[in-house]
Amino acid sequence: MASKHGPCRNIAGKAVFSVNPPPTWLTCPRHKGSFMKNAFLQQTLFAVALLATAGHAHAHSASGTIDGVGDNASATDLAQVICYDDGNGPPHHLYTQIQDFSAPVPGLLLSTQIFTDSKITNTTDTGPGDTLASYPAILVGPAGQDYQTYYISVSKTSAGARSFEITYHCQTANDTHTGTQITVYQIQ
Amino acid sequence: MNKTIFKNAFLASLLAACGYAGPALAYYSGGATLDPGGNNAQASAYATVNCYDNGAGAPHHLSASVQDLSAPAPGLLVSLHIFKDTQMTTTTDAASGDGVDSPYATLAAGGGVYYLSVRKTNQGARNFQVTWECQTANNAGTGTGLSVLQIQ
Repeated sequence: MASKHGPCRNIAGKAVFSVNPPPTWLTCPRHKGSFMKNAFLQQTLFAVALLATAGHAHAHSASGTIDGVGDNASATDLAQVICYDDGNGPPHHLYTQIQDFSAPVPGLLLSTQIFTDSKITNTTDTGPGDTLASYPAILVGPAGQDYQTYYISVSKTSAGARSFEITYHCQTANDTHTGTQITVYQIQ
Repeated sequence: MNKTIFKNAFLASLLAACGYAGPALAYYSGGATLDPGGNNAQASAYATVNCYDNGAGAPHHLSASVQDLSAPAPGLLVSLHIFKDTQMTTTTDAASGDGVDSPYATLAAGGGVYYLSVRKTNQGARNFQVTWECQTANNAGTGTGLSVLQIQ
């Protein structure tokens, strides 16, 4: 997934990788979660994605649809992301992007939020259907912890089905990918 | 607007709201400016709302809405979210500056601490007003305490 902001950038806007652009299979080491309606499918999809990409810089990909019927302006998907030290270093922040694959509709925009119990940020795909993801949203967690808990959500501004893809990955202070685990709470 | 001023605005609104006799109509309200510099698409406001039984009954849900007081701008909409435990909901003021609140968002998660956020879809300062209240299963107002965590 390309970004309006270029490939994976950190808070300061610098490229996450020393090679820019990176090799195509390393466009952006990321976790992408499917917010699908079936929990089994969710788990299976995530497991397959994780296994398939284990040797490819932690690139995980999946996609889903929010408000499939198209009549729920309040539809919101919600998940918890645990960041932990998997040997690559203690987590520092969570990085996310969202891409809306559906055709543009006036007044209908798709966003994602990252939050903890004290801080929040968000990003919106302002060009639905243009094949570019949103600007990255990055939230720095509590300092000095080997284990951080974040929440991510996906919502939109009006009724209407939207096909989307979300990218999320926990990173160290040096933007190195580290342990990332998701639990999906709500699909609407 | 810094956090202190925002808190004061909320507190003033809380005091004003406390003057209402009918608890079911005593929605609290407060407002601020999101992204006053007009250059932060990711600006967010964030607060906790503690729902507790103040004698009017056990809290059943939190209800809230948002109104964008600024003039309409293409691609720039203000939304409100309520989150608690494993649930979350959303409402958006689809018509900025028309003097009408968004539809109410309601999250039924009992008593305790809810999180409430306000954000927008692009860069640009937005004056907004939030209305909120903890309610019983019968929609009677009950104990509601707000604490602001973040204003950007």
